[in-house]
Amino acid sequence: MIRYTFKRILLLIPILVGVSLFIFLAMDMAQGDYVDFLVNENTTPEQEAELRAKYGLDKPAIIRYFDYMGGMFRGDLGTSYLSGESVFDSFMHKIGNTTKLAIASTIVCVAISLPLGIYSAKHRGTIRDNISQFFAVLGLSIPNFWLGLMLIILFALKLGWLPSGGDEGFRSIILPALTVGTGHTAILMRTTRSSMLDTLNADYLRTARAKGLLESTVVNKHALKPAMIPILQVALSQFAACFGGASLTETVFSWPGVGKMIVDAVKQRDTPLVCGSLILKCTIISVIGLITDLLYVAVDPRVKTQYASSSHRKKKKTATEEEA
Amino acid sequence: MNQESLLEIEHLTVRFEVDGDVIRAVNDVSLSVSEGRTLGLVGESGAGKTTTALAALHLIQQPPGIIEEQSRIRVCGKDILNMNQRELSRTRGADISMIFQDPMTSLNPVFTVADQIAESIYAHVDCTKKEAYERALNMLEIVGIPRDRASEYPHQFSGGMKQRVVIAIALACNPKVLIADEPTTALDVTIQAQVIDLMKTLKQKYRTGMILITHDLGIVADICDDVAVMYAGRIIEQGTLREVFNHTLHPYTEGLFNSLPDIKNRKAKLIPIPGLMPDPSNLPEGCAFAPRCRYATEECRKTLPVLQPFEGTHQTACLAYSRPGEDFVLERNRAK
Ligand SMILES: Nc1ncnc2c1ncn2[C@@H]1O[C@H](COP(=O)(O)OP(=O)(O)OP(=O)(O)O)[C@@H](O)[C@H]1O
Ligand SMILES: [Mg+2]
Repeated sequence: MIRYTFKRILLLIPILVGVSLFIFLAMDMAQGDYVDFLVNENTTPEQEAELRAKYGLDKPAIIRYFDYMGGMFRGDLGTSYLSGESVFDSFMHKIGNTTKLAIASTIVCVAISLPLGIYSAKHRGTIRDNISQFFAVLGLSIPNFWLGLMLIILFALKLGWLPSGGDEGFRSIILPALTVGTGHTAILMRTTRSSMLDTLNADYLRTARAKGLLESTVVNKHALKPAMIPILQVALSQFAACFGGASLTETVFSWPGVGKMIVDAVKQRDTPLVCGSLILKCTIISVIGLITDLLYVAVDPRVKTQYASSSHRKKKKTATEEEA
Repeated sequence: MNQESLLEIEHLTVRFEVDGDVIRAVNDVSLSVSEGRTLGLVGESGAGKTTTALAALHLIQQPPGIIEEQSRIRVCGKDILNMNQRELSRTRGADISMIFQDPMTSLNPVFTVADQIAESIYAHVDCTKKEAYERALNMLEIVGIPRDRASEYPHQFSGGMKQRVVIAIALACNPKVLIADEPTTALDVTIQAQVIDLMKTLKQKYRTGMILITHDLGIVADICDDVAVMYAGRIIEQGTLREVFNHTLHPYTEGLFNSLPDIKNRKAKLIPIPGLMPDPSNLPEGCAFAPRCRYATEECRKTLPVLQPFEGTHQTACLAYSRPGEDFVLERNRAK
């Protein structure tokens, strides 16, 4: 298992190299660079050239890329042009907020999809099943930014119950979390539904009923727990996706997270900040993916004993030897 | 109603509707089990034994199953088919419980075996979770599984051990009625003997009423007091062990005995019953056994025989006994 983890981490390196190369080239193709934002009609061409030299922007993108990569392998993700702060520090200042939003969105998503999926599976093939599935797909079909704006109009402007943006504690996170969370319900709900359909037909549910357990215990314990592995995996991968895809929502709600920071950095052509942040984000997403895979081992006793069996057997063997 | 009757099934009729097909699995079955008595339910595969047993716990999946209206099932005097959730959960496991046929799939893969037993005890006995777990460990020992394997998961157990866990779950709360659906098929001979002994103890010590579903007529002879023979969803012969075994009435029952090796007469040839049981989705108009019966007449193919009392408690559903002017005797009984 340790070897597997190590392999997965090594696999991350080519991905990160590819991502950063892509970003450097894309940023180079975009119109204008950081210095274009600094100059005004009073700046002389000499001053402009000086500024370019200062940020290294006089060199071609591919050279800057190799410079940057050289730094990265020494653990230096560069310095933001705009703030002069190290990219790592800037990222760390914002990642807390993004994590908060990711957790809140995942909670919203699970709180909607799990009951809906179980309900749907219990009533499979009926009109109730279809209605539940309709609502889950609705969440996927509505574009996030539109839903975000609608929520702002309704709850912030019309009703005035919740703030429309910024970070003013718990109340501020509700609308963005609803926006991101509902967007993910369709997949998690369908996963819950299909894996519950498998376990709801299992023979062991009959055994559970025959014991005299209440139907709610039968469904929520005996059917749900064996169905939990695929559900957890999808929930975690959606949690990871919250780190990747929340830029739009963070911007709509001016949520001071990494996503908004990157969007702002792109606008200002702050290449080191964009590249460094994306590299860190990719790393986080990959680590969550790795945890998801390892979780299999922790949750499923069949897999768990496979990993534990060698040490277990050794213990048993010494015990019998001692007896002899 | 018989005062000591623990389980009474009357006119049980169950059909399954699958993709437009109607499978008539159980047709007008009536039987009863009283305190301290064991009923052997025999019949070939697909005869409707498991379906009858599941109905007694109101465990038939609906849909596809449909229990027809005239069916009545009383467990300890209470109508189980019309119980609400709470009453059902109080009855199942405590008044009536069942050992399931397929041990490989009857246990939940993600809970330890002891937890699965303790759960049943905790649901019915007024005790703490810890006490329930302690009692579960005792149950495991009773069925011959060492305590130190209690925290293992079903996949770590062999088929026979799983079967014993299923038995432990069913017995955990000392049910008044126990239905055992082929409880010994997955077990080797020694363990099989242990399970049979266990069932005998239950019968004597706790006066448990039991239904034992099996293909093994030897086991029936060993522990059953009464026997019911099922064919294509109907009981075609019923009576005490002695009546059915020594004074067999139905040609199908005779066929069952003939297809068994006879220990006393090893040279006797085995005579299997020719043909197959009719498909329960397409039952013939008359007697379902007629196409395979060597005594069948034209009338048998047209008229459906009903279960009729013969002598004492002995009943059979065969037209041969109601033909006027004829004293029908099965070949098996003629030889004596
Ligand atoms: N859930 C179901 N859906 C459709 N048909 C079913 C279902 N359960 C049972 N049947 C049908 O009902 C009939 C009786 O089945 P049952 O399981 O009661 O037989 P059995 O006597 O227990 O056989 P065996 O000795 O093989 O266990 C069979 O034809 C079977 O195909
Ligand atoms: Mg069966």
